[in-house]
Amino acid sequence: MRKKKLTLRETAHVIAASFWSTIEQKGEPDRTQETLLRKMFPSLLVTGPFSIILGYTGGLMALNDRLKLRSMVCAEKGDLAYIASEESAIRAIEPNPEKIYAPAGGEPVLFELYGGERE
Amino acid sequence: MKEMYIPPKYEVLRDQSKCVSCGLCVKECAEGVHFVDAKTGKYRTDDQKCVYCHRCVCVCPTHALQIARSRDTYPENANWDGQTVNELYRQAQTGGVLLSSMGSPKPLPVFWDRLLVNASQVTNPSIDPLREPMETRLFLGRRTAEAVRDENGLLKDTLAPQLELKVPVLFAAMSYGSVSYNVHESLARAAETLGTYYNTGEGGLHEDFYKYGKNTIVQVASGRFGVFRDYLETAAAVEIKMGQGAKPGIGGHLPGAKITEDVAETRMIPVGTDAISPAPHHDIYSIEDLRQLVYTVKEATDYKKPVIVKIAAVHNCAAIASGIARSGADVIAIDGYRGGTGAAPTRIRDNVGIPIELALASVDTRLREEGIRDNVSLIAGGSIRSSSDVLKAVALGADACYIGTAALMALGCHLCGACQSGRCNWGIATQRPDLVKRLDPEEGARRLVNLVTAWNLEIQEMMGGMGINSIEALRGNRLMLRGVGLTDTELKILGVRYAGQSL
Repeated sequence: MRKKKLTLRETAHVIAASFWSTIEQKGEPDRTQETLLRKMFPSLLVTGPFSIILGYTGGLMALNDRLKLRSMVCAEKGDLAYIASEESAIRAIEPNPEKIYAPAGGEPVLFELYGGERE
Repeated sequence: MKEMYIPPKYEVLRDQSKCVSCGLCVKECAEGVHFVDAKTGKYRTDDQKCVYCHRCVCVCPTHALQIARSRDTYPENANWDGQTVNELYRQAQTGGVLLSSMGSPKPLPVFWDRLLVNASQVTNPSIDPLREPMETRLFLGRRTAEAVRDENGLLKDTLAPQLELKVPVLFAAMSYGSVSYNVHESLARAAETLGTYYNTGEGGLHEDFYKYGKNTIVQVASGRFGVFRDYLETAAAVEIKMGQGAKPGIGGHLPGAKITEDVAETRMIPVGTDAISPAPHHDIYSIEDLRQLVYTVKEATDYKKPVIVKIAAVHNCAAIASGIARSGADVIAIDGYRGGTGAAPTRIRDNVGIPIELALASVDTRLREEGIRDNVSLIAGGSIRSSSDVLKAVALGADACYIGTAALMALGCHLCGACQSGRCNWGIATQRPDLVKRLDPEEGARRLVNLVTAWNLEIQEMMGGMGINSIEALRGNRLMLRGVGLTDTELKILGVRYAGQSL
């Protein structure tokens, strides 16, 4: 990411790349961009199960493996974001979130501060 | 002195109670083993001529024929085995170099059989390929592009040209001349259906097959046979052949008998002349020289096609591959010592070169150590016999595998090893029209598609078992392999742990 100056979203599409069959159904420019990323960095693909939460100065990124073998749920209320492996864990802290959803495998969720990406 | 009698290797057994005297065996055997005795009218055999191609056995409608190892042999001697004695007598008689074909049959260790594949249990779930996507699509080519963006911040495609494969298998170089027109047509059609490539070998490209260009890899070898502008432009990729696993260090030899008019035209040589490719490329004596040829080919094809450099697996191949990876080549193909051939001096085939498993592992390790693995893709060949060989090759570091012998076997080859005679009863390694027509290209293509499709299903099953759903994520993942019956040195070169050793 730092060496090739990829964005977080692009990095997510390298390590948890969508399946070719999914990419083919996407619209432009996503299809071309994700195809190119897979061709450029095929050996950086991680195929096992994982859920990762990455914190950085500019925000938080949550990412599931591309097959969603591990679970992950996100929720929002006001300017607060919640990420957990179970919905019940979120509800224990915030019983009434405004939005609660399970992101698709390989689709990164970014909660950004200070108006965008920052290392 | 009396001429030495060399007993036949095989004898033909005919069950007279089953034989219906249909005469098919006589008609089908181009070696002339079967004949009808003019005096008695009985079917007889000349065992001496039998190469054990199994054609008569397969076509006999009543299964009246069997071929057995001949009981007629020499005094038993573990040091001087029958084959060695035969060859010695033959050479004393003729003074010639012995010729053989197909890969070496010598009982040297096959490392594929001493490597075992991992599977997931509990912690990393296995994936069911019948329910989930299991990707065997891959790209061959240089992957060192920088991330360059356009005015909208989108990544621009600055990648070197790539070859897209739907399966991790390509058909290896086999020239038109060494094999028949119908073999090439079968390979080309199968490659198109499968979404992979076949390789012309050093024999030019028949004009009928230009339409399969996008699934064709054309070869530029030391004899430069059939190389001209259209040849390079039609192909999907160009392969520079530096060496062949079956005969490292020597060139090619196609006997004049196989140079029919059509073959001659495709190769651009006179009819009936021996087609002899020199041992080295006469313009390549260093990596720098190779670089010149790589860029000559790229210049001629407008930098639109990947250039493959094929070498034989030899002792120093890791260092050689390191040089090639810096020469501008996009792909390196390594051919192991058990690789096939249409004709090679027996001594060279059986004694020169090293096994592909060790060569592949050492090349991959070296390129990774030097940080140049992404400069090139690797194709491994030289006796890939099954889907598990392919899978293990990928885990050892190959991007994809070449299959030659296995492909011919799908077309009917029975490994008799008499390709150089040009009398192939299966219509494969021959130019005789009556024999060539025995191979139906449509049926041939179907069988090739079946074989590779079946392998691909098996590869997907094994990948799923390991919990890996992209073949590209398996490449070089040697932790997925464990060795059995291997020495410490062998394990070290292969870069795998012994069965029972954890991480």
